Amino acid sequence: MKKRWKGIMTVAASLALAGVLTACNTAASSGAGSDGNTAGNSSDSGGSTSSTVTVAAITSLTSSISDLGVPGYQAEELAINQINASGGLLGKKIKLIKFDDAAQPNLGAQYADTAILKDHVNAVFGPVSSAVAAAIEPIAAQNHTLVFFHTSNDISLTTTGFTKYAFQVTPNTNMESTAIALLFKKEGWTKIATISPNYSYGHDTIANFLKMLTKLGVHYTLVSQQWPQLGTTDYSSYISTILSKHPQAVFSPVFGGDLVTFAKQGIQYGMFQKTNFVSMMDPTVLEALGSQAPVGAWGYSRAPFFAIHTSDMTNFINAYKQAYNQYPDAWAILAYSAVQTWEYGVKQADSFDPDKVADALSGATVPTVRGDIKIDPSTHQAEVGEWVGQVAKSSQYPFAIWNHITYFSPSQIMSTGQ
Amino acid sequence: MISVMAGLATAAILFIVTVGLSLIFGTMRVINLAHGTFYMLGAYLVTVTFGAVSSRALGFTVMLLVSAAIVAVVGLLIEVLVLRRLYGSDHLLQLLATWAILMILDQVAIMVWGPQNFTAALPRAFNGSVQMNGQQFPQYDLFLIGVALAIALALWLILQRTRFGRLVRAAVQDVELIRVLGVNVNRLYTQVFVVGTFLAALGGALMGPATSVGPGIDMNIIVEAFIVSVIGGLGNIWGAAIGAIIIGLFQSIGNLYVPELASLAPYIVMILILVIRPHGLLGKVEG
Repeated sequence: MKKRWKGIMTVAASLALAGVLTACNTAASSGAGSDGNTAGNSSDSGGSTSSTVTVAAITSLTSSISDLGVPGYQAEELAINQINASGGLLGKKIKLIKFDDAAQPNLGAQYADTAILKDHVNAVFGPVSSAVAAAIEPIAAQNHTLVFFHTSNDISLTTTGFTKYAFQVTPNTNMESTAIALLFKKEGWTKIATISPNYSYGHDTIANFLKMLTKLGVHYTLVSQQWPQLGTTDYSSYISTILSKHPQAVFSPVFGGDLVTFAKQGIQYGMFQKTNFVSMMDPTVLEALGSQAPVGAWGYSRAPFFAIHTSDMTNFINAYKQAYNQYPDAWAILAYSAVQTWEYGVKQADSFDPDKVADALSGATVPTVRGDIKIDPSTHQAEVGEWVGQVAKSSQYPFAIWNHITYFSPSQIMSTGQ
Repeated sequence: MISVMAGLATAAILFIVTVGLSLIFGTMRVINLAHGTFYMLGAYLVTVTFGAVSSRALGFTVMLLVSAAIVAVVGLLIEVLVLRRLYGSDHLLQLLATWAILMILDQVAIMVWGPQNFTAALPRAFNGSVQMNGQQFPQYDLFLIGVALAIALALWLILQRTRFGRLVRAAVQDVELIRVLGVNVNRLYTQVFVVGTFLAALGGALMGPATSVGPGIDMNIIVEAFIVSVIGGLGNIWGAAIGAIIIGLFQSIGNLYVPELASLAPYIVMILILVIRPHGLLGKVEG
């Protein structure tokens, strides 16, 4: 009897230990990684005083969402290199330092402190996770440091959490789900299902999507709602459940590596022919899937490079391909436009002073690689649109892109969305 | 019908991985936290290192076996160099040692393959669907179920008919007794650990092409494998099978009727089983 309990307790203890040590593990490994950076940096005691100005990227370079963080960091590096190659900003060279938050808010906060107090950065770019963003935002505000969000997009960052120093250059959760609601209305889909990651982003997006459908006068029937965990490796039971309910369309804010997994398994079940599956099938996912693209599925994206036909975009695609040997996905384009926004603000203010830059950007129309974006003075949310389209094979690229592309403009997704 | 089949496909992988964990625990009394890491290495080898080497059924099968064998060699080294020194000591030391191995191999994986996710094409031979009740069911899932059945059969035969199997069964009952009888227990442990590692890696190699592979997939599977083995009874092979089927079916049928609770289903089942039968469905009461 005693021994039996000992056995069980050992298992329980080991599972608990596993959980606790995971946290320690990531903390320890990322801490070590960035120490190298900051140590190297503090030696030249940069800041805005000397001939260089330092900025920081705090983002997820490891963890399951690093697929979004790494391209963003690369684009920031490219943007800074380009600024320096053309003589710097206001005559100063820009230095970019990076911190891997591993998608953990406490690490993000810790690195924001380090970047601001020790490295005296002028601006912070990042992160992927909205939870990390929410941790960074007040620290930046307390220390009068600019922060540009380009991937995390929780609406509270620019509403309840608004600070003068924070800017958002990506569509927020409400704008994105409003765009999808508009698509459902346009296509006349009313018998619907949802499958969404089981955390705040997933729940908020679905809640707003359903609210918007009602607001747009769509009388829908919700036949199934699924909530898989982030990082699920086997979606077959979710797929078979949704198909057994025969929805006309499925909205799925599942993204990144999880969506790649879902798409591969969904194809085998014929999912993308049997229903209109709408998810973030952006270049990140389509490139990963290569020849196994879910033809017929619907995608939405905050900045698909193949839908933006400007010479600026062409130049950016070429520069990015040359530097990293891959096409820029939405996360790269958004991060690049975040640096462009900061650069524009500094030029307009003719100063690195954060208060002056913030004032210059508030209400400004900023030329970026994704087109001109206007910064709403009351929230610092950029007025940006959302693209949707249907996945189709392409002879132009080694992976599938979209056809039937629709652009929902900022006025469409912001006026109804707020 | 499709939901049941989908649940069985989930159960197939869970069984293959858990049976290795259970075999190691039953024989060696080692709770191997690095078991999921061997699964991860198997998945990396198939999708990244051998990615697209072969698309035919035979070539793909060889690739699976080679990947699992490579990881089994890693397992052999770990058993000989690390675990062998710890058999006499406290369970906690073994836990810490296997945890250390997990962390080291995780970091090695990131150094070798980088932090990003990978995805490989399904082998063309299994890249289709069959019609079932007017619905499509993936051929690859059928293949997984078939492999799990084959492994269950093979393990049963080995355990019943071979000298190695007899020794394993005896060790599960009372390892001191067979040591006294002059059996080389150290060698037996090494063999069992290699077989267990091979099964974990094979599970990962099988799952690799059907999912996306990246850091962290080891943590998901190790938690699930522990839940399955606690339900079935640690150390019992048929317990692993029953536990895997219960969890697989609870997930797929749970999604159908109570999607809000489906992700909790494995934990709820585990708690219920622990309350009713603390040693698992088929686990034996020790001591």
